[in-house]
Amino acid sequence: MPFLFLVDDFDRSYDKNMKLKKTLIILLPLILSSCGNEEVKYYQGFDYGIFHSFVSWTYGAKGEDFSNEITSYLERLDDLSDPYYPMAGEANLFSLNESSDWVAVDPVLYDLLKTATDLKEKTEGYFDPYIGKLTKLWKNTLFGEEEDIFPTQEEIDEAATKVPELLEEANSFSLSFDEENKKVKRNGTAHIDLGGLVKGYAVEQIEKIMSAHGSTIYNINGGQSSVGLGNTKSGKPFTVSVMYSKVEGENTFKFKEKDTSGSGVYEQQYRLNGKIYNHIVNPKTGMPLSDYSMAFLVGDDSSVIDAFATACMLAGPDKANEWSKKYDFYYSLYKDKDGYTDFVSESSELTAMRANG
Amino acid sequence: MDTKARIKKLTMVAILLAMALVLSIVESFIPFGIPGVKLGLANLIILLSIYYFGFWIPLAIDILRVFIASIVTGTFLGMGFVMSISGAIASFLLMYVFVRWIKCFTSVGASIIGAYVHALAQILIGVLYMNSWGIFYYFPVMALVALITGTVNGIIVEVLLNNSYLNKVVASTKKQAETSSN
Amino acid sequence: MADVEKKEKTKKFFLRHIWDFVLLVALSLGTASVFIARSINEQRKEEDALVATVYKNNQKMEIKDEHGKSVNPFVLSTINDEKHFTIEGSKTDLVIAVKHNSICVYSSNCPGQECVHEGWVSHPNHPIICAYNEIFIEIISHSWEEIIVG
Repeated sequence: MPFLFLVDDFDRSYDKNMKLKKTLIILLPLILSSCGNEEVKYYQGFDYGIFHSFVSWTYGAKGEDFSNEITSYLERLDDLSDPYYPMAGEANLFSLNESSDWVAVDPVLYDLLKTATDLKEKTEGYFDPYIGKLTKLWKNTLFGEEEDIFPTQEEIDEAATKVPELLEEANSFSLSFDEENKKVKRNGTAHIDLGGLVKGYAVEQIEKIMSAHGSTIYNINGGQSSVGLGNTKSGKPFTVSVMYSKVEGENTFKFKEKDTSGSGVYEQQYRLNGKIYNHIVNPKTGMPLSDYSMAFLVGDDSSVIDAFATACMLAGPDKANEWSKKYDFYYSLYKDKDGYTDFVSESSELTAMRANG
Repeated sequence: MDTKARIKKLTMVAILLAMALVLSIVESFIPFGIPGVKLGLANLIILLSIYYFGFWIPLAIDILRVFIASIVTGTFLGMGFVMSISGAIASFLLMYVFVRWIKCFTSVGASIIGAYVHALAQILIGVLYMNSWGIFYYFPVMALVALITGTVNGIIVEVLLNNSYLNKVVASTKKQAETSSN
Repeated sequence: MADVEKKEKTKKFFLRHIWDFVLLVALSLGTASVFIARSINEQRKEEDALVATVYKNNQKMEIKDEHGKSVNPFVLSTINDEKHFTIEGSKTDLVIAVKHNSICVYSSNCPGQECVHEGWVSHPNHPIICAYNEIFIEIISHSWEEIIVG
């Protein structure tokens, strides 16, 4: 609009041109701003049945919807990490657990196994992917085939007798990795279970897909326990509530561009003779008992904090504090007190993120 | 008591009931988002009866017409029936109050409030039945229609009330009864 | 003379009905405010999730698809192709159809057919009701900026 600046100051035409000039000056930035910007469209995706739960996502993108890409990835990861059923034509976790030889696996499964092994070391064994048999034992004892049938003390005691043997089996187990050929080998008879890591891992990978497509505004929900947050449309932080815990009212935090993971045992648990049995097995004791009832973590790598959420819940505040500083995440730890959630401790950075009121 | 007056009264009430009934059945054919929602066209008759006959007779006409209409249309004791009955009673009570006690309103005002409360009562019953406030979604449209039909009905009633022939007929059902009881 | 009389008559008419008019305006404004509040409530950002829940007799219904997956509540904003589901109402069967951001009662054997006449619904707080079968379809919008973890 260069002619704007060539207007002469004739008396009669002055007023007319001033009006035009003013209008154009107002319109100019609008015209310019709409020229460069492509419109951002919002898409949503939902995959039910993944990891015996669901994964959903909402994201903003300038191009087409790439939810199909995410769904294909998730379906594949779900099949590969399934410990109950084999895959047709290729090796997955189920078939790996049955073999004692070198097995060639899909790079996705290889990376997942490697991550799991690495995290076992980082969490000093509080997150242990090799307790598959123990997890299965307690799942069958406590949450058997029929719902609403409570386990008896005898059944629990009977299961407890099997623990030392299975614990020894898990502790003496190791995995060997052949990086070049993407092969793994089981050294021992324990079974691998990736249930406590796979949601966080999936969320992390989906975030990478988002990055690859240039989407920075997103919200990825992995079964409501692992959540990956990008930016919001308005730029304001997300409001994140931690379920089943009321600490001074609602337990709500505000943040964005962080991953979160919640590990809690309130959903599936039984109280029997003063003890609370839940669905998370402690790899140190082999029992499904935990002193603490919930850990809520905020960090940058969804797979890391998924494993550490379990670990922090089992290990307690001192370890949680130590790890949080070493591996750069924030934690909030809770204990069960007669059915109510009692706050134990949390990182100061996370306290700062609490929503006031 | 003069038999002639009583017969005239009975006949008049029966005719009013029949007219209210016809209007009730006709309006049940006009569909809405929820079944059981009625426009309240019969309020015209009920309001007129209140001016002519006091409390119990118009109330009886109102309740009877809801009963018979619901039996005829096959919605007896269903959700539609409960909605109609509550709408009818609520609107009747308010119209009575507006006609007999609050004197600043004419028949138009009474008719408007009757129709509005009729719609409101139906919606509230719907909310109770469905256990959710979602039903309220339909209220603005119902209320708007109610206000229009209420105004129109009120004007019709006003015109009828000023009709000297009708007034004579009604008076004759009462006058003779009075003189004969002396 | 006749003109003045007419004016007097109209003036009298309005004075007599002044309170009726006030009532009419008051009720109209009251209803209008409810209407406006509802419209504001219906505002939904395109990135918010639109979720439809089907209730039968005030309880969430169990509806499964051909794979045995539970599909109720329907996350309408994530559905791409049109799908039909046959469900059992209290008295007759109904067919519910869902497509992207919309749900409707496709067909029903109830006598009133009000539910079918509603057609496709795409707004939150706009319910679909089949009173005969005690079916109530509720549509709500979830802000994507509020998350529950646990």
